[in-house]
Amino acid sequence: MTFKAPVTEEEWAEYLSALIDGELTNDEIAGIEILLKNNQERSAQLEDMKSTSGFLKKWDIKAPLPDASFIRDLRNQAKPNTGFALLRWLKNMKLRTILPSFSVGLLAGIFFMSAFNSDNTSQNYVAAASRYAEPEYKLSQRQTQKLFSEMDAEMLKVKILDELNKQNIEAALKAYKNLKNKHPESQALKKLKENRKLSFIL
Amino acid sequence: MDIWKNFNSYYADLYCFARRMLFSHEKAEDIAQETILRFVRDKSGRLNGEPARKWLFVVARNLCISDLRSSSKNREIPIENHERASGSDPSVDILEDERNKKIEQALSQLSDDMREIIILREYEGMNYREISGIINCPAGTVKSRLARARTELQKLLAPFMED
Repeated sequence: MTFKAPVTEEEWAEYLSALIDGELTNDEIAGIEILLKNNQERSAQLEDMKSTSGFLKKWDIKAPLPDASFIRDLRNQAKPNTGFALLRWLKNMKLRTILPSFSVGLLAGIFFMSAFNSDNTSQNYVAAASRYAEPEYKLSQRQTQKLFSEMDAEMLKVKILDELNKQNIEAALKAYKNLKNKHPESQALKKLKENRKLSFIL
Repeated sequence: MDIWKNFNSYYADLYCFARRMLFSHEKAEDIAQETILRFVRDKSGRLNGEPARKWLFVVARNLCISDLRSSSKNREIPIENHERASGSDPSVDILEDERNKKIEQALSQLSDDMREIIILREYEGMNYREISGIINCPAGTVKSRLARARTELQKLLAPFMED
């Protein structure tokens, strides 16, 4: 590119500015340097421009380090999309909205676990939980007697049916009498009486 | 990926560019982060030879322009307190603060299109071709705007440079 000497103020400013930035061709540099040698005013303008440029550069800004949360977001964004659909869905859901609810739930869980296990601090939670899962029944003496009576009657009923299967009628009748005498109110006796197949024998 | 190797440098450059364009620490942080996030999300691995730095500055510049346009009606340039290095001489710090404020005020008086060019040239050290690629205009326009910006700044800063 051939050198075209600057005439207007704008042209001079452009040349001088480009000279500072090293953006002129060799021809332009040579041409402008010749002009500057004979022009003190323009030389002074060039020096002022350089000073202004140097002065501007003194405004040094120290950039802060990026937030850890931003770096984390960035790493997550950069990960290839290879996860399961559920994981992607969880990732897409804003963790900020889930996290508080999850934290409150977790704290509540810990609180209740510690409240139920106030008698120990490091025992097995599974054992403790199963203990609380088992209901405690308190039976009266009469209820206890009835329960044992039913159990005994059920055993006699099984024995009667067993003897009948073996065609041992006498043993079956003996057991039946025993059942009638000992547990006349039992459910086992009632069921035997209701069985029509046995009614001709008993 | 290129951006991870030079992450801190890119982040700092984008932050400083946005800070000088908008004069706000918070906005500069937001723009630097948003630019890098967009790069990772949209452009990761698909640069096709395009320099990452150029792409980042184009996005950061567009974000700055959007912000300037959205706040142009009630625009007021907040001159923030400048960071001080701990353990340094307080009297020197005060002088530096004053000088920085003057520079900031002078830059704030330039038009947005002149300011962006002077920032890209003086602070980011870009040549005319790089600047024209970022602001999407001919190198001749960069040359003339830069000259006008320097002339204006020279007038604005001359009284303080004599000290």
